[in-house]
Amino acid sequence: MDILANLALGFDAASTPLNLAYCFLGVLLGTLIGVLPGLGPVATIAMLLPITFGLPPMAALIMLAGIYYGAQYGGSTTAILINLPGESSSMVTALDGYQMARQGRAGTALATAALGSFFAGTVATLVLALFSPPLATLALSFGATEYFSLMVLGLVASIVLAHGSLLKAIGMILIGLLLGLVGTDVNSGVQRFTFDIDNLADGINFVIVAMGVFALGEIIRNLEHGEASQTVVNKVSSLLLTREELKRIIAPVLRGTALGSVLGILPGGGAMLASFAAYTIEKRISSTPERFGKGAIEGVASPEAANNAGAQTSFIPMLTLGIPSNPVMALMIGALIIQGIQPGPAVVTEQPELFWGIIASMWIGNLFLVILNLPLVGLWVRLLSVPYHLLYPAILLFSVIGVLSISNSTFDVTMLAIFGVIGYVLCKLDCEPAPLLLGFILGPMIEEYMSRALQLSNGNFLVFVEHPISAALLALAAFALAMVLWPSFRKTREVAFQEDA
Amino acid sequence: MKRARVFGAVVAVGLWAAGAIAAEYPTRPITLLHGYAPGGSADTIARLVAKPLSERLGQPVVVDPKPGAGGNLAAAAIARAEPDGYTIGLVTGGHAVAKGLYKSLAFDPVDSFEMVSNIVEYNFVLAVRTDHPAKTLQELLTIAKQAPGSVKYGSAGIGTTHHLTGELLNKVASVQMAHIPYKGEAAAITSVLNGEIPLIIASPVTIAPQIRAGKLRALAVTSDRRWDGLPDVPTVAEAGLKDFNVSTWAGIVAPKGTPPAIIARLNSEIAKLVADPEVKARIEGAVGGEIHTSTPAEMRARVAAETTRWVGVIKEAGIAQQ
Amino acid sequence: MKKLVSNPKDVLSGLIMVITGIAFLVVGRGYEFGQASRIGPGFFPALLASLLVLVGLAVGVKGLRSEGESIRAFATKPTLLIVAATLAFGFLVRTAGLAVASAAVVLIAALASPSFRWTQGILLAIGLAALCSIVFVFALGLPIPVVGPLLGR
Repeated sequence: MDILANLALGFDAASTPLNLAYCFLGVLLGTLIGVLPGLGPVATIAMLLPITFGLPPMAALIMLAGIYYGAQYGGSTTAILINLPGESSSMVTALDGYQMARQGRAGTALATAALGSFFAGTVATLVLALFSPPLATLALSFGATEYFSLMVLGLVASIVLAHGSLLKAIGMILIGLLLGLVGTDVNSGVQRFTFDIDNLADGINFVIVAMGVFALGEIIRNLEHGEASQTVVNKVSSLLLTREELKRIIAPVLRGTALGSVLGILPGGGAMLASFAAYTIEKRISSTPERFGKGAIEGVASPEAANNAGAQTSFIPMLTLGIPSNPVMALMIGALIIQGIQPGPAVVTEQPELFWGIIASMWIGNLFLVILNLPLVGLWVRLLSVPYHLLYPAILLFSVIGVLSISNSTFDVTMLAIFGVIGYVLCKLDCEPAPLLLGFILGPMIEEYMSRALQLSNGNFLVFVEHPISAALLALAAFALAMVLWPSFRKTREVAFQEDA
Repeated sequence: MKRARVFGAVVAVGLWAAGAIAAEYPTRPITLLHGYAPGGSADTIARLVAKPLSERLGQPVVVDPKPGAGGNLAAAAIARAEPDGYTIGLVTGGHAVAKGLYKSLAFDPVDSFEMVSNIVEYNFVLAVRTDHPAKTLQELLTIAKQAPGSVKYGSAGIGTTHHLTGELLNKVASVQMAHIPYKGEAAAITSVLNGEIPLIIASPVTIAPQIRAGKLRALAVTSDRRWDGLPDVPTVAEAGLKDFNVSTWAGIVAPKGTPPAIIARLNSEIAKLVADPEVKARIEGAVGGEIHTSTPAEMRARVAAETTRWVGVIKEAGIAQQ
Repeated sequence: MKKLVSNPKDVLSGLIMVITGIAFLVVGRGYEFGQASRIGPGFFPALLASLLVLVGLAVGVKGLRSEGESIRAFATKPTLLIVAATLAFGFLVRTAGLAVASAAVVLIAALASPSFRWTQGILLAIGLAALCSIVFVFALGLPIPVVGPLLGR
């Protein structure tokens, strides 16, 4: 079979000692920067770019790819341990992962993330190998209209992220959407809500908002209880998964993998939705949705799988079309160009060894990640037994340095403090930050796509239902909304809320 | 004796007063500020220049990206910096657009800076999807004239040089092609590939692979010279619009008041480092352009002329100032 | 305990939403609405902010009618210290350098804990400052000065 021959070619190319070494180096570095909050793969890869000039193209790309998915992976570690999501995708992991950690199940949560990611990575590698060209066509079938409807679906689904009051969740989403609009409007070039501050011209960085409301808010909240919380975790029970837990995560991991693989392909922001969508679905189909947000293992397994699968399939538009789906991919294209390779539709046929080698290296890299991280789980969990009054200053320090590293701006550090206070106040009022953050991500995209779709159709609002994919997505959104507003479902929500109160 | 030789060198330099500052310079690390996203083509050029420049100057040259407000944040920071040669900056063609686009700027694109040297020049490419009826630029302009509003073009965003090139084309050819802004070139290219918009104005390095793979058809390049990467594609001027000449560039600037000796030293080091065939090839490959160094005066004249041109285009196209 | 309103958390949440919505409406009042074929920068924010005001009103009214917990006192001291620590870092990192700024963050933040002891706090500050200088600047090469211009080079 062709695919087998191709994969063999890929593994052959990827498993030379040199390439294996760079693959390992990449995932190691990725894990490191993922664990260091705020320091993202974009900044790291940009700094490492000149070093890669001296490497053969394949080694360079294998290493950069390793940094990327290694960082996705490492980001969930801090999300689980200290409620500090450094990437939009690990925010969802923090919801239930951190609760698990508080209950002494940090080890289980980390192991779940590791195994879920590895499984998803393996499947996504196969997807890449088998279906890259047809999936690239799918990526191109999404225009502004389709993306708009996809974002609307994401928005409706985000209501499910909350486990408290429905109305408050909607309010939080709206605040998030509005905050997301701060900055220069793509369609008109007008600067909105920036108060003529140049630092706000490009909007507020997601990492600042997420770190502020999650991590800083959490620190202040913990300090409020004073002596009561000497350590975050009082007892650390098991480090690994029980047979029963393993059984419980199989289906969520499968669903997350499927969802992540599909959404990851869409270059216009699909990958960002993967972990949210996975979480939403798990909560929706669970017979005990009230456990979500309070340490449900499915709420870690599925988004982590989706996140990792999406990270991998987001290579498809780059490898097959030469279109970067995020800044990291753009960097990798830059690396290729400097190496004298023009990424584009011709790479598969002209450089089969490179193409298949990179795909094969992803599976190898995922294997390295599991081997590297499973033994580390014990170490990370022990970190939690450090007394809290020594731990939280360190968390704060890593956060401020991370925020500073985003764009070298002390203004951003000030914003971090502001969002820390906002996070604390929201928490006092039982307003959940997760819907706010999703709104923040989706706000500018919804507006951009809606306005562009209308501009392209000369103001015809019907385009959203005339395009079949868009119509289907909107129908799905309407269905989801109906489910949320369905009285009987609402009653269970209210019950859950009162138990909570 | 090493020490004696250093001593001798210092004495010799001390005697030659004019060169003194330049010869001692630099004694500590130099910051190379720029206002573009890490990993973008401007950032890549900065890093490609910084590495050999460090080696030549014997002090680290640290690339410091300060993205924001279309590069204005960094430009303001460069203008404000101590003019001692330890803060220099990299700016691109967009630097000359700022004056027309923003109501209030914390700097003047020409007067707040000492120009050091231009580094590289590159074209823009006009391209349509392969199944589009227009085979040449003339045919496209005819379609645009017959059915106003039917030809929409995508660019990397409002107020980018790509966008202004489109508006300039509208003006010179007396057509009304509607502008659709995107967040960066990649999104705009996707949109042409899936047929949402017919035309795109993009930088050569991002668009060339699609053209070579037969997905898009290049109609013209915007400068007065053809580009080696696509030698069969005519210039806009060749396609019938006489004197049309737009290219963009990247160059090094320093804060106003930086000693001339330091400027001269940097200028000559840059000229030497880009002469290295490997560095030259990498920079040219990174943007799809040609190395083109200049004297400080030439660069100043260039930035001033472009600033004037874009202020005019922005006014005539009715692009709102921010 | 007698409460002024029955569900203060919801009432205050609603109030914050209404105020936020009005603030966005006021700041955004000058942005154009545009038309369907070219939506202006004002349309989307105005739509969202109006919705937020409505939702805020609903939350508030519901809060007046339902029973709920009272709000526990705000932890003023930790909040102020964490904010101060963050701002101190922003101020010091460019002037005094990463080492001093890091130590300041740690020390000021540590003051917020009831278990704070000076010797321990100072040791922690020095240790973390050294660690971060090594990891971020020397190992990862971030363009941040370890020792800033204020302290000489």
